[in-house]
Amino acid sequence: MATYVLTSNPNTIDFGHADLQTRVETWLGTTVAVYRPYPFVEHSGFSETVREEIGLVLFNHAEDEPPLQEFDAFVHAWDLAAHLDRRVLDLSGGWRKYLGLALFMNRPMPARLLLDATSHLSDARVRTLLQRAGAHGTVVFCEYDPQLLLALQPDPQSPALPLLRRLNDDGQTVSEAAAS
Amino acid sequence: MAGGISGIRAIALLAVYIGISVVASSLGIPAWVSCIATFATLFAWFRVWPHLITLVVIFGMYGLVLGMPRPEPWAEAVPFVLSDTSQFSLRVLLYLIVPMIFFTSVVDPYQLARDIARLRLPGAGPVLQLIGSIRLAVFNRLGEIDSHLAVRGISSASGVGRLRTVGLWTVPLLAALITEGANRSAYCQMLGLPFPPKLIAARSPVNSVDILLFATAGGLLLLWRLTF
Repeated sequence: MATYVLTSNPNTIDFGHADLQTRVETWLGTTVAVYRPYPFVEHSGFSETVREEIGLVLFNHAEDEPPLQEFDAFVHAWDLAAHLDRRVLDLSGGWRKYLGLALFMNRPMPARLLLDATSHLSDARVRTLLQRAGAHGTVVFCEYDPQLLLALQPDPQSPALPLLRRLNDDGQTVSEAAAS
Repeated sequence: MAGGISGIRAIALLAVYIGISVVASSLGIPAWVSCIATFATLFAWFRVWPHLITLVVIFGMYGLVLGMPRPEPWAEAVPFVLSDTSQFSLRVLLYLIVPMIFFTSVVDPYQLARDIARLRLPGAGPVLQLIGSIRLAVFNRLGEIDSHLAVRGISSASGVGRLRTVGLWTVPLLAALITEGANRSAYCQMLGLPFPPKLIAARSPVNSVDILLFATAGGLLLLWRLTF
């Protein structure tokens, strides 16, 4: 399990993510689940509150793909307890995105590719995401500005951040950067 | 209840409307009059003021358009056309579009989905929720478009401003809604959900007001059946 930050052409996130997924899968030697923001959609739309959204997603996991954490453990791990009874539409854009990211990370996948995952998130949410990201499988972050993620300072009050290893994508292959 | 009334309450109100309509028709009151009167009252009661104008537009335009080719003066032709219930399109207006506007404007879409989910009709809950949540989607997208226009010095949030800038927000609104519909499916699949997902059916509140409304509707239908 490792956490990578991938440097690529920023346009790849919008216009070449399918090919990028293939290159990352080739490099990792396994399939990856891809997270990327969808315009105008930041929650399922089938639930009203955060509690209902989490319940709906956990309830609908396929039988052969049980969630990594059940409701209580999930809420605790992702610091969502304070927002459970708020309407999803009333959350800030950052929290809505974070909720979707947390639910995505709860899928039992061996590897994940996160495209533009950290924009709109506060530093505290990005730290939580990084701390949880590497706990279950390999995670590759591909951001418009990867330097922001690499320069994120740890919070003395919270657990240490995982080591971030660097990857390069030249449009043909993905490789690990020499100075990780 | 956030966002509107329950689906059960809306169905009870529609049942009362049907009862009023059949009794009024038997007393010689045209169906369009009872439709406008009932739904104007409901829209005023639930403070959905813009739909009072919607009612006038729907019936007024229909009457004017179909009344124009008639030989009588418009003042006589419009009521004649509106009272002619033999025309299918008018029945659609009376019995489908106006109640649908009522449904989408006052019913809490999430509560409606829960109510429908209890009926255990496969797929009906998510589909109806999608239809019901179009209201939320439209308001959300309009809000975003207003923000984008505001930073460019264009005021479109007011009623008059919205009419003046209709050409600026109509196309992005439609594009956003179509994109949202397509992306919602992809988003659910990204989280590992089937589309549409199974809804978790929670018990919806059925209280004394709902029972009273259903009883009133039943009483009106009995009155109509036994009296006329």
